[in-house]
Amino acid sequence: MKTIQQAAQALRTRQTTSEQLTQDCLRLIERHREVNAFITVVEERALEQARQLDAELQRGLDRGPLHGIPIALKDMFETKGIRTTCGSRLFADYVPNRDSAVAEKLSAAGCVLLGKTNLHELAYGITSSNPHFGFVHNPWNRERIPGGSSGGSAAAVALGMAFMAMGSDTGGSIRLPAAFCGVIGLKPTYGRVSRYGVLPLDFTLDHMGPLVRSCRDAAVVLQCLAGPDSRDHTSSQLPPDNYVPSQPVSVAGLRLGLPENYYFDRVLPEIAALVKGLAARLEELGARVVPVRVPDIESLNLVGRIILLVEAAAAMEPFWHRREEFGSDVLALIDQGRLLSGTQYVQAQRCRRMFQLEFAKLLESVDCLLTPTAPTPAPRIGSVTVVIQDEPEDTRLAMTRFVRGVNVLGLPALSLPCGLVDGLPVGAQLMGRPFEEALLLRVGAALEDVGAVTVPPVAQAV
Amino acid sequence: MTDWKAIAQARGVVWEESLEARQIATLITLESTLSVLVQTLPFELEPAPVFSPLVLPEEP
Repeated sequence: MKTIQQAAQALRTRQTTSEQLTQDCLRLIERHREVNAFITVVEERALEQARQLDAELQRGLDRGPLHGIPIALKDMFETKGIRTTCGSRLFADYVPNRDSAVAEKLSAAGCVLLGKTNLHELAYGITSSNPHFGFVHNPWNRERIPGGSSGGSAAAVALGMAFMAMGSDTGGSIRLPAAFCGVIGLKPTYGRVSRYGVLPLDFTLDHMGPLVRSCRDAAVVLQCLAGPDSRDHTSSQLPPDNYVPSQPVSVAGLRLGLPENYYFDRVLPEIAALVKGLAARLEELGARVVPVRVPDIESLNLVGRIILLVEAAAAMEPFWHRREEFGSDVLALIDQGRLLSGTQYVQAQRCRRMFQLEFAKLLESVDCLLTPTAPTPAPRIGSVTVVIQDEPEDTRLAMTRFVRGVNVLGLPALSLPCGLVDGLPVGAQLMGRPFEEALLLRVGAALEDVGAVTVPPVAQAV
Repeated sequence: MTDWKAIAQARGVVWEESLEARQIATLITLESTLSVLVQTLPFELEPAPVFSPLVLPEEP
């Protein structure tokens, strides 16, 4: 049983119980312990919760499609009574007395919380090589990174340790691990999912979203999480859409933008071919592929880096004096952020506005854009540079160059597994207009329905 | 050119010697590219609102 929808069906036909599903997940967590996907597992609590939810179903109390489904949260979502470390020594013993909005909603919907997943320290990086809680390893190859910062969440979902794991995305932190581990990752529009009770990295770039094994599962989770929250003043007042795609689903008439510049310029040819193959499948299904020229993404990314550096440094100011408690890579980024000026930050925000206007215009001519998620499969752990088309590049900057700008724009984006390159999963990214997650999920589901997008079988991932 | 090392010292940031060159190179890149980009902005263009980069829809 791989997906939430399959498990939900089995629960209602009494083919399984939530307790059984939870035990299966706990067994896989134990079996793949060396992947280090979790910081905290709450085994007894999970089993007790599952038994209660089973009893509810037996009494006819059905909370909906997430009732009895075992899930995990990235360890930056506050959970009442369960420590929330953010992968940092600073919070190693922090036990919140409140739930984050996400934890609260998932619990109310009947999810079983298995535990808290490992991540890049403070969610500030793409490797999930955490110096305090151990490195997360890629399920497909233990010498590779799983991506980050939501690396534990992606690895957990890929290995079947959880049906869904929540991630956060400040510059690709849901979509990159999704691509590198072969699962689906949804970064909703800024303001669509409440950030209340999530330890902040970057006030204007942080987005919360699920990692899952099907687009319809992503839709079910978003349906649960989307909506206004008065405790998060960046939360949008727009009512949630209907996110779950119909069956069968149609993409007839959809205008799919395929960038002519930037996104296919420095990428492994095999990945470019797989992504363009998805475009061809969508065309067969009735979509219209429209070649487009995108704005200056290199500059957009630079603007994103400045905003990220400054805001993260500001968020961490209470801890600047505890330098020895940061990992070296995170400390280096915080130091850079401390040195940029107020003028530079405001100018970056002005540039951000310019790019938002340019993208709004571009997205009048097409309904969504299709790009690779990353230019290569998962790099090796410890890799500082990668070589793409004979040119060495900084690994972090190379891996984030297709995803970072989307956070600056605040647009929704979905990473879909689109095949294997050198035995490792790679991803395609769909991005769309603000609050049009439903459209992206519909496109993803259409590709799943014809087998063009599939989460590789967990059994292969050893 | 900005003296990043002096700014770092003034703000109490002390780099390991092995990291210093890389830190400064990054800051120089960010500064120089941003300054070129800013020259393309319309004078009256305002920043994205810091806490809501998207124009949020009206309340229903």
